[in-house]
Amino acid sequence: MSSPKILSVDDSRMIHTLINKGFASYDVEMFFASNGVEGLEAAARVKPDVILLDVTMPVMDGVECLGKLKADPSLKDIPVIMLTAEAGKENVLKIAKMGVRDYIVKPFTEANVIDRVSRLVDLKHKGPTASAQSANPQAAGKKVKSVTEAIKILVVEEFPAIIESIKKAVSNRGWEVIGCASPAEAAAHVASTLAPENTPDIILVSLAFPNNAALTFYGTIRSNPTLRGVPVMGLCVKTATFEQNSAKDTGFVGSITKPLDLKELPDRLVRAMDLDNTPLYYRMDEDVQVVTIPEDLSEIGSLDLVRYSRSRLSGLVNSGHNKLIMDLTGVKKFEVPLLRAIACILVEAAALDITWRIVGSDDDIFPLPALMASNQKIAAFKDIKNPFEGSKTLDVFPNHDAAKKAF
Amino acid sequence: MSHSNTPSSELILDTINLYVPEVVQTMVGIAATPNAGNAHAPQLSILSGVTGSIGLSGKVNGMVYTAFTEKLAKIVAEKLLGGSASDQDVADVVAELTNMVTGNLKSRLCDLGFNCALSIPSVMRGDDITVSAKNASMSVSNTYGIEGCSDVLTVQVFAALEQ
Repeated sequence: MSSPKILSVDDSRMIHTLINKGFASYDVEMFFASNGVEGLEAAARVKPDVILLDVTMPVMDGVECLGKLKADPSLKDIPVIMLTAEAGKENVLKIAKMGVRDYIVKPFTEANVIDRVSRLVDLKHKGPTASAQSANPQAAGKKVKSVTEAIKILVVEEFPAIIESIKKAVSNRGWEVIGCASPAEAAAHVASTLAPENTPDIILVSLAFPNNAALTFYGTIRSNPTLRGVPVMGLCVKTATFEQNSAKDTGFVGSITKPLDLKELPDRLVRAMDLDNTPLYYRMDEDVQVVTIPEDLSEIGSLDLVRYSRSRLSGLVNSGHNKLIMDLTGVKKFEVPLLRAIACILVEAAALDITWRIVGSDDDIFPLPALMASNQKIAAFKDIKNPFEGSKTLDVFPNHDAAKKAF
Repeated sequence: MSHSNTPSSELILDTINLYVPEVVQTMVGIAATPNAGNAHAPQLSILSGVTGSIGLSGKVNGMVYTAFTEKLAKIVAEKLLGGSASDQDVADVVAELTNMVTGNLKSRLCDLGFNCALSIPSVMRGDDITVSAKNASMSVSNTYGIEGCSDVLTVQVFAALEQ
């Protein structure tokens, strides 16, 4: 099946850049147009699976463009998501009547856009799964590995301190990090370890090696059938934009910038490898599904947890169960990624008629409904329902047994 | 703060104090803290750096200016785009952030029954640019402290209700 095509119509290069960055790790084809006229032309030519359409643009604005899209029999069925800073009731009603599928209010987060698009098209990460599908049809649709399995990371980096930092960042996941000081050393290493059980699951290469050595190394990796599906990421300083762009054009799935964000790094690797991260958080306790979410959940971790939770929760109901315990033991501080994950999982659970209970310390959890309500106003929560709406108090159970008795 | 159903200087000041921090926090990932602000600012305002401007026309007419110092505009653009930003990138980011603030102000005004249209954003560069609106009955100004930067972001709004 071909990659989903996404057309972004916006007069702002900044918006194009942000959307392109947001979808960089997904197996999608991106197309861009800078006004309604160009958007119509691109839609007719590309036949995208979804259109992201700005409202205020020169030449032809988004509302007129939407009208013309809906009047064209060959384009009218393409779902359109409006991106607009003008979210007044009148404006929203006007575009809703014209058949817009959804709208995103500016300012928006990467998570907002990916979440909305993922409701309309099947988003798959770039990397081993996507490549494996073409190389090995039997593997199509199957995940290669889960986040709790043994993962091998090959790091090709001149500075040992960076390799040590990466080892430290993934140490609590039990992943193995193999360091090589140069692309030549790494090429020799991979040539000597081609048994499937020794193949790295992801390769990180410094983009600072002279003479485009990282890109040459990438070519070596891709010419090897065993390593063809292994995702490769760059390592560089933030300002090395030329190197990042060259790497991306070559086929790298993304770049990790230095100084490394050690908290976020494991989640970025999980995403690049397209691993299901729910085993980190979900487990069954008899007939009850338990989800334990840590206080320091990162932005990317939150986004992926929410995405994978949908299938996890529907799988729970399919298997004849309908009870969920959200374990927030030890959580004292509620940052936005954690709040968003809690809201999305509980709302999804409620939609599937799953009954949920919360476990934790009453003293720490009691502000949760108020925090959820106050955060509804910020962009990261736009269009995410408050699972505690209408309830003045929240029942918090000290342990799983107490929560189970309350079902 | 509660307001009547007619747009006032105070409502405009409250609205920009709500949306400027939200836009900067969401898009750039840094905090913008409003200062006291002036709901009755002088009709002549002097702006410097990279200034985005958008016009409102309809039941409310006016202009919204967001003035970033050159240094602040560069910091914001590079943080937002995740790499070095050319002058064109900086101008584009300032225009889009101005659009987001003004679009949300417009939504607030529209919800009160004062519908208006927005112009396409434009960006000017230079120091000591004097802006004024002789017929504006409302002139609102505020500065915003930006986390990790000594420079401030200045927002100036001129508005008049349609007679």
